[in-house]
Amino acid sequence: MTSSLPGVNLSNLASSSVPSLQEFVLQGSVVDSACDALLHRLRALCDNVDRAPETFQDHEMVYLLRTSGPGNPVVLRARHARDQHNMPWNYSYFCFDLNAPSFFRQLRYLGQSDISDKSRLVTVRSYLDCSTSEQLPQFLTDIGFRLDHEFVAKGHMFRKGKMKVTITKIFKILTPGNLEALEPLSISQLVELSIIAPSGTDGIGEDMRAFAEQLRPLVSMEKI
Amino acid sequence: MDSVTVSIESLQEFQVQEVSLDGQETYTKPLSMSESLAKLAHKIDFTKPEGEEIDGALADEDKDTKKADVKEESPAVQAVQWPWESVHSKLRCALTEISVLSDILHICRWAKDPRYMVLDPVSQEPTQSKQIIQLLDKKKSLGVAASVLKSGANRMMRQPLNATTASPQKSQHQNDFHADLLRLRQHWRLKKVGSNILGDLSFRTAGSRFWHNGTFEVTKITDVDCDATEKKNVTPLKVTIPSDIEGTSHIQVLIQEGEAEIATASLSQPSRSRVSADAHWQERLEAAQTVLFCKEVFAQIAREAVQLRSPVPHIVVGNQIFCTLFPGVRLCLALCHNTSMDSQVGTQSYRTGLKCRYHLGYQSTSSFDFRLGIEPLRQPNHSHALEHSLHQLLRELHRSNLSGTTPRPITASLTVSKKRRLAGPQAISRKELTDSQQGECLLEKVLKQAKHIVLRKRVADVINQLSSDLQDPVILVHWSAHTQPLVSTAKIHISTSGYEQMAMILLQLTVEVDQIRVLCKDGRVIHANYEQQQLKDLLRCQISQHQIACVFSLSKSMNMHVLHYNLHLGVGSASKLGNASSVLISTHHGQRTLAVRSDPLNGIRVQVKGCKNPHDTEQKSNVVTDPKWETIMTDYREVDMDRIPGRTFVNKMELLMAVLAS
Repeated sequence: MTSSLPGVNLSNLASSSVPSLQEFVLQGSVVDSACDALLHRLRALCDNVDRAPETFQDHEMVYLLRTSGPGNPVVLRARHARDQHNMPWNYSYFCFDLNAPSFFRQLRYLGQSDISDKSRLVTVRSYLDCSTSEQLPQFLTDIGFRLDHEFVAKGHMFRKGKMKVTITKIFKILTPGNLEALEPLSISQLVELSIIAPSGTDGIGEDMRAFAEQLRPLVSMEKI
Repeated sequence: MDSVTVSIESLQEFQVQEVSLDGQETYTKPLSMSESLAKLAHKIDFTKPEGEEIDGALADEDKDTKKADVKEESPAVQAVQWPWESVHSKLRCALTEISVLSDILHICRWAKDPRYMVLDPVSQEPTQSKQIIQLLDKKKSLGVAASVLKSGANRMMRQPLNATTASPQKSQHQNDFHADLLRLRQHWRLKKVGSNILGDLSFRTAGSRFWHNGTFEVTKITDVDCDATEKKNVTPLKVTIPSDIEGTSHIQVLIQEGEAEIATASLSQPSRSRVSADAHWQERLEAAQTVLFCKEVFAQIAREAVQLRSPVPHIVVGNQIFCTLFPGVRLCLALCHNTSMDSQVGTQSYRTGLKCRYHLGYQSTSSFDFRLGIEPLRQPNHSHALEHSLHQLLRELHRSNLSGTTPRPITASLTVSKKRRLAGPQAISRKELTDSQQGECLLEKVLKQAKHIVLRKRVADVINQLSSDLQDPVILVHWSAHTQPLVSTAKIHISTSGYEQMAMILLQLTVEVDQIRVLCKDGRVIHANYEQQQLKDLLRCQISQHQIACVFSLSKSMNMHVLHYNLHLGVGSASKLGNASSVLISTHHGQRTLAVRSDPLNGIRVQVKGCKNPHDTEQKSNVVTDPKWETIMTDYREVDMDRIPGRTFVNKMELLMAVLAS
């Protein structure tokens, strides 16, 4: 999988052996006080009823590269999980710090949402991602990207077949560099339904809509 | 009768304007068309809205005439110049108003400079609803609901009073149905579709992707006959299970050895358990779910059997699958489905498949004597282990369909495995990745387990047979209590009873899927394959070497001199199996020599040198009197070990050595 950098045309990628992926997204929001009811409902609707929902804590940094000439700047997202502890493969210490965060980061590119088809029920945008080592921020800065903003996302994840449902609370980082001082961005949580599938897959929008209908009175999911 | 002509003419009644002195009436002229139009147009009041014009035409007319009179009277200056004057003026006023509005809108909305006029919404005061009215409203609606509930409750309470009079069974019937439904819901997932109650038997929520949807229907038995209700176990709840998963079913796995034909494998044998149509719904539903599960297992295996490429292709015939494990050993899998509802021994049953019978047929030297394929009344020894492992494997497949590892960070792709996600940063080679992704399918796993079972049985048989044939060195085998589905271990002790301190053979056997690994005491690792003969030969070689080793250590304790000891002898005729071993011992006084040669196939030969043949008569010479000269020219003479007393060979050797040494 290659990541998209300025100068690489996405249409070239489509013809190569790398499958071009698309992300189908529906978003909604729920107030903090109503979050518990939503969690209960999702727990019953989604897979793995007997297990507690997965929680996650991620730190995401959004990088921008302004291209000379007209057009929107390229946006790349670097994200890593703060609550996972991976032993690095070249680990040579006898004791390692359990509080050390994960060593692997994820680089993600999200294209503009495709507005050509007005009748489509969900937002569709092109999606590219790859897993990288921990030097990703340094690498991006060296290439020429500038850090635009960063945030910490905490929440729960559910899965239903191919679909991923996340309920995220986004936190603002008060002082850059210190990831402990966080402040919630708003009093509500972001609910997102997403499926990542090769481009051209049909029927996904209908399935997602049908699922979103079941969450109806608690949260109404819309296209972006 | 002639028709009467009727002429119609309008009344010539016009208003009298004046009556002249001579009696001549002057009528006012009727209004011409334009005049009447002018009069009507005059009546239209452009200032009033349209709705008010429609009702009360007479009242309007009166008002209009009054207004017309008023207008004519008060502004005397405004003389009606032409009949359309008022209409014209009214329209003109309207035009003025409209143009003013248009100008305002232009200035407010579309002007470049919003300095002059801006539109602002007017905040409306919230309408204050009277709370008392709301309270009364709620009270009324609650009262209506309460009355409905109360009437229903009264009806229900009245029912036991009617118990003696009309249809006692019916009410009980009713309660039973709902109570039963409640109990059913505690065990099975039900949902109401329209007016039907449907249930789900399938494993969809557990991760299965089988095509059968496994829905059963729950209905109430409406007609109640008195005879039926006298029995205690009749419930009004009827469960309708689809016909293809009704009854009982199980998978039979049979390991066949020998040249049994396919036809003989399909014996009609009754299925293990039977569920009659009158059984309780819980039993029937559970049996149906088992049937569905077995169907899925069989479908999965059949599909894999067709797709897998193996040296000997697998045969799928109807409800049976044949796979070759080893040359001459075959695994047969079958789906046995019994739909018969009567208690007879399967006369009407729809029998299909193979049984899991673990059944061995030695043709040659065996103490077991099975006749292949003819076991009409004998209950087959079903290999429950293999059937259970089949079930477990399918459940694992379901679980893997359902749950994967959580993507970390959460936005990563959900469907790929963790290893694949981290393949990039961890620099995993392409070969490693493809190897890890090609898992084993269900059939391959079952084949491996079956092979292991066969191999283990064979090893056990070989050792048991050998130990029962040979009593001389005692063969003891200890199988490890901890076994895995694919690996078993055993330890073999071979020693001569009474002489355990002399020498002992210790072998560690590891029985795997395709081969047996033997670890000897000296550290050699020998691999034997599925042929039984190989293991037998190995043991025989070990035993022959053991005998020599025993004699060797015995001679040391008997104070004999060892002249030569070789476990792999290079002289003499070559042994057909392994190597011959030998030991050459001489007595402490050197007069007699004992030669022992052990061959794995031909047994042990013991020869002695230095014993005078008593039957050999030679002339005694007077010159040579020292007895030692008599023993120089003797040859080796064979010892008949059978005539030497002793329990075991080593025992005999001990006696022999004692005799020779004296």
